[in-house]
Amino acid sequence: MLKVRFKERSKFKKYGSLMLFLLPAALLAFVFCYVPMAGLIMAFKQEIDLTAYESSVASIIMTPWGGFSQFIKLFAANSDFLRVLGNTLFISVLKIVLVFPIPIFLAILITEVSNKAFNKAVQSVMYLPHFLSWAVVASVFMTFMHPNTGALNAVLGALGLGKIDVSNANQFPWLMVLTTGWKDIGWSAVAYISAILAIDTEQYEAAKIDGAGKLKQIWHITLPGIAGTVAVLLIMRIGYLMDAGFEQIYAMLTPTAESRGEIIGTYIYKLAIKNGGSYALTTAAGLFNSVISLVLVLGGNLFCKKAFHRSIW
Amino acid sequence: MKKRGFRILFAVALGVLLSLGALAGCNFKKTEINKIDPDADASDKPALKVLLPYVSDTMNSNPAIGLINEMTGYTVSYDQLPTGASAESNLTGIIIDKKTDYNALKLTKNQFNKYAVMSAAFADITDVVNSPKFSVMKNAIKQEAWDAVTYNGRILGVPDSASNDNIDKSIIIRKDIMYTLTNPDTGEKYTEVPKTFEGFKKLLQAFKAQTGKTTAFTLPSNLQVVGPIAAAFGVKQEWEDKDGELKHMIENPGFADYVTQMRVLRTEGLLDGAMQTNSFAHCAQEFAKGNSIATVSNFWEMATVSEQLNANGGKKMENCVDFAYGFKDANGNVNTWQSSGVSYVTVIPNWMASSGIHVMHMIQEKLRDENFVRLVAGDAGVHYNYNSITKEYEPTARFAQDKTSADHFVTGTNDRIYNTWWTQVVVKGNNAYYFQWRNTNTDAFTSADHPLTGVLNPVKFAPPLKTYSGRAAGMEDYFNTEVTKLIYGNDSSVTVESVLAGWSGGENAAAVKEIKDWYKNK
Repeated sequence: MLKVRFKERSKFKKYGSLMLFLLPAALLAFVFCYVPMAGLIMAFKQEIDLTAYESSVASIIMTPWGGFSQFIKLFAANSDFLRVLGNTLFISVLKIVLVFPIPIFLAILITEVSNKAFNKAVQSVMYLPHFLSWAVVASVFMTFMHPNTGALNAVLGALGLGKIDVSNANQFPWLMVLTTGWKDIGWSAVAYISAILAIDTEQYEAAKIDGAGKLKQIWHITLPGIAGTVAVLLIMRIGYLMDAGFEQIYAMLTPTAESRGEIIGTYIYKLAIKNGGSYALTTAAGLFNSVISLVLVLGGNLFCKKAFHRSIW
Repeated sequence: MKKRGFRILFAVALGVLLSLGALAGCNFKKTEINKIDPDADASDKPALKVLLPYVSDTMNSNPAIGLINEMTGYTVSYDQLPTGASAESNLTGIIIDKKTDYNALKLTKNQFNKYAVMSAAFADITDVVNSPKFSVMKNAIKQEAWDAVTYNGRILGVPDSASNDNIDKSIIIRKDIMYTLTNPDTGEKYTEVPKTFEGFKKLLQAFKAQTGKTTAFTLPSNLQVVGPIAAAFGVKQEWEDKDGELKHMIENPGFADYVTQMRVLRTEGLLDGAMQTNSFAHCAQEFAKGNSIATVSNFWEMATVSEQLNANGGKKMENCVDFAYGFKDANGNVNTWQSSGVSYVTVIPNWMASSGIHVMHMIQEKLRDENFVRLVAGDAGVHYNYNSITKEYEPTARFAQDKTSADHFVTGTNDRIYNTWWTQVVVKGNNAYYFQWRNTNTDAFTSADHPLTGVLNPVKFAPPLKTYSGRAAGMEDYFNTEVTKLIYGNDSSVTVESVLAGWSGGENAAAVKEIKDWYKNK
């Protein structure tokens, strides 16, 4: 034990000055991520009038406790929360299963291209959609997929393939996967490209000498080489399972697609409007969301540790 | 073990730190509503800052700003809220933060209602309004508008009334296309807009059959209830007086007929099935291109229609557009939804009450007859000329340049003169507005063979109500969503009865009771 403590102390002595660089980030995280957590007490309060006291924080503190009444309201028999929870998980899982692996393959393909100029051009084009806001992306896709005037539907109609309809509840989750893929696949490939570039090239040379072809090199060197990155990103993605993409869905959801398209984020937003900005109820919904996300992250970490011997903690 | 103990200690310390952080700077004093004293010294004229709803990206170069400064003696600067949903979150932040230095906020009536029922968001201006010193302000604004901004006996803001009682929304019809179609009943070409809903439906059918186009009637995503059609089935307003009792349209037996008929239009392929993804601009474009023979427009949206027509072969409104402002109902009467009520309210934030007296003086100066006319209509010979033959005020080119968005800077309307000036000058500032105005509001109500009766929504003059004000936006959102499903969806579990139950049940029941009780007791 003494040895461990001595080791930690000497480590601190050695890297202490470097650790100072962490300070601003830690401070920001503390102020913007930890301090606001005090607001979680709102979930256990009755309805809050934020103008009741000179300070809003005092208004929150002085509001009488409501116990679990907001959570009970959330899960009340006439509440749509369970349906919305199901939609959220369905859309998120679809995104993970269908979208998550694609950037890995894309990164491998890009790094295998030897023409540098072509490589750079492809990467730039792929990254571009990531920098567009969901409002813009939604507007572009809604125009392309407009049932009467959309170019995409005109092409599909000419080919006799039917129509894409964003107002159709059954099509909606798949359209969300499609648009997420279009927007984020290129950007997500960045982390894998850097992981692949970090693999020691001598390994490939040795494999070549041993007669390994491209596929074998990928299977035995590239994929194991980026497994750690894949595991970390997968765990992080699992942490966002309860966030199926608020901005995206808010921008594209229509009333007739609500039954399969409404997610927790949009539901909470609606709940806030419905209840005249009920801070207590929406905080309760948000807290529930966060707790489930935490459980998922810890579960995902455990799974990766057991299955792939890779984890964040 | 020691390491674990350290972690626990760290967690506790963090918790304490968080709590202390949260409490730091807290003021545990209960907020009281500050009263503005009409006799307070206002000899100095400090610079004032006013927050407006979104005006435009060039708001700060609007000529109205300089004019207001000249008329009132106050130097007023302006900020504006963003457009769309983020306006609400920004405003909430301002109200609960209680630190911004806006001397006045111009809010929509719904925003005002929402915050007026909180403990102390806005300062109390009752004494100012009732003071002889401010009789100009008090008398300029009609009493029912003052009543609409009074909560618990306190006047909390200065109201802007709707500039006139306008037809809310009209069905607009491409008359040039209509004239080319043959009426299937008579076998002759159409010569006028149908006067009944059945006749309108036949026109849509004729358009579809004779042109092969599939979106005869196109609507934007925010329009679930088409007033002229709903009125034909007895639904004459969102809220109506029925035998002395206030009833919402979902409680009106005619609403089920309206939904049924709209569904028929959709299933027959006459109503645009893509309504949920349509913007008004898209509808105007389809209308201008001739892909749709009909859509619905507010009078102020006619400028967009005019632009689109012009962009599609230089077509002119006068040659292309006619209006179906109402259809005959079962009794042969023609009714339409009329807009009215308080549209905006200018308030003094409670935390800025100390400078409130200056805001009141500034508003009173703007409301003086001569100043108000200058603000909304401009100066004689510069912005308008009086035509002694037509006995009308005619706007000049300068009017459009200076006055098109001057109404955004109005803080309280001079109701005694606003309608006259608005009718005479403002609506003529743009040909599109004028055309619509004359065709609907003037001709329609006086038409010999098809006189129109406008129906007002009494709730537009309701004061803030504790429960209803908080839930109204949610109830409206629920209603619109469910009615969209009723007309455009295929979910058999959504019925008029289920919408009524959802709209008036649960926690909404108290809100519905409250608004109905207000009407009964007013």
